[in-house]
Amino acid sequence: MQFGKVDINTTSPSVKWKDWTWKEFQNFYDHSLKGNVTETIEEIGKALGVKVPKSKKSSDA
Amino acid sequence: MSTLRYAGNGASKDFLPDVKGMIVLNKGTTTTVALAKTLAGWQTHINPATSDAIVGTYIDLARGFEEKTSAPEFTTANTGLKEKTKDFEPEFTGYGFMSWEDYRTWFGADAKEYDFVMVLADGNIMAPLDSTGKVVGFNGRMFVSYNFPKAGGDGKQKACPFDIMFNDVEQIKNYQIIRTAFERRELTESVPVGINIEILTDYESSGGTVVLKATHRVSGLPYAGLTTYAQWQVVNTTTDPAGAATAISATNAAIGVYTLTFLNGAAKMTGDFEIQAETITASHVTYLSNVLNIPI
Repeated sequence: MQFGKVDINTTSPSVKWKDWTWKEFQNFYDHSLKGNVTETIEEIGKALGVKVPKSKKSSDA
Repeated sequence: MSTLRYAGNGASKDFLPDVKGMIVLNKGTTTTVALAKTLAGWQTHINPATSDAIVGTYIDLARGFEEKTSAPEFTTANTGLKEKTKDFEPEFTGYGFMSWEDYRTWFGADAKEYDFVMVLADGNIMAPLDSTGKVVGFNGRMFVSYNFPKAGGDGKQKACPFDIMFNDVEQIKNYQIIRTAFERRELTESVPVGINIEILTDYESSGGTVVLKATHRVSGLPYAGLTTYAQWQVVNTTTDPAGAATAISATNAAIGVYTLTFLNGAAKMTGDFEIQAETITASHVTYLSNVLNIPI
């Protein structure tokens, strides 16, 4: 799944986004996406199927 | 070997054309005779739709071919009777028409067993058939040489030697010449273009990112065509049960630089792992990188 010039794996059996914790996803976002995408962490998390905490859903990264 | 019956003499006295190349196949790879006559048949082995499906390649031996087979053993009995008592397995040294960087990618093949289909100057192939009538290669072992660069002359031309030792005299006794519909040049062009990948910034333990550079082999020109995660394969791991390119940032692809995240699920890789990059065009692997170890 493409976000800006970053392509995120959505097909590999070893990458099950729905199993990721929000903390794990935040770490991934900080190291691999931050500064390279225009979407918020919540928008990307939601698109990938990561469980986004309710309090985070409406806020920006 | 077939039964001897007198079979006549043809009007032509042509020699068998020289060996100019060899198709190296994973042991046990088979091809129907019909497919072996076609370029498409060999492309299913050399450049199929995914790198995982590659089971062979073609090596151009334009820089030389030297037969090294030992002469048959003849023994004279104490009665004076002299007869052939042993045939030796064929062996040869072929000198690859390739760059030293291409040759280095073969270091991992040393002493390994492969099947070899010999390609003659006219594009026809020389190979045995298995018991089901399918084309197989001559089974044998490949040896490569590790050495310093040669100073010049024919040493340069012999800088990429492949010592091949067949395992079975019976296979050479039963070889077939299969007339093909393709030329050697087409086999050469079917082999994926070699790309070099190297580490610019080491694997980062907290985020699982590594910065890599991809260049055309030897020329060093940047290769900008590896922008999607699906093009990056984790081909081996040491301690992790799995691993994958989880994300790739192609912001600097124009200069061949890519930032990749390799993870096992959500966890960072805990041991060395190996990766390879590929480009697929029209259902064929068209560009293929070296296998690169990522140290942890």
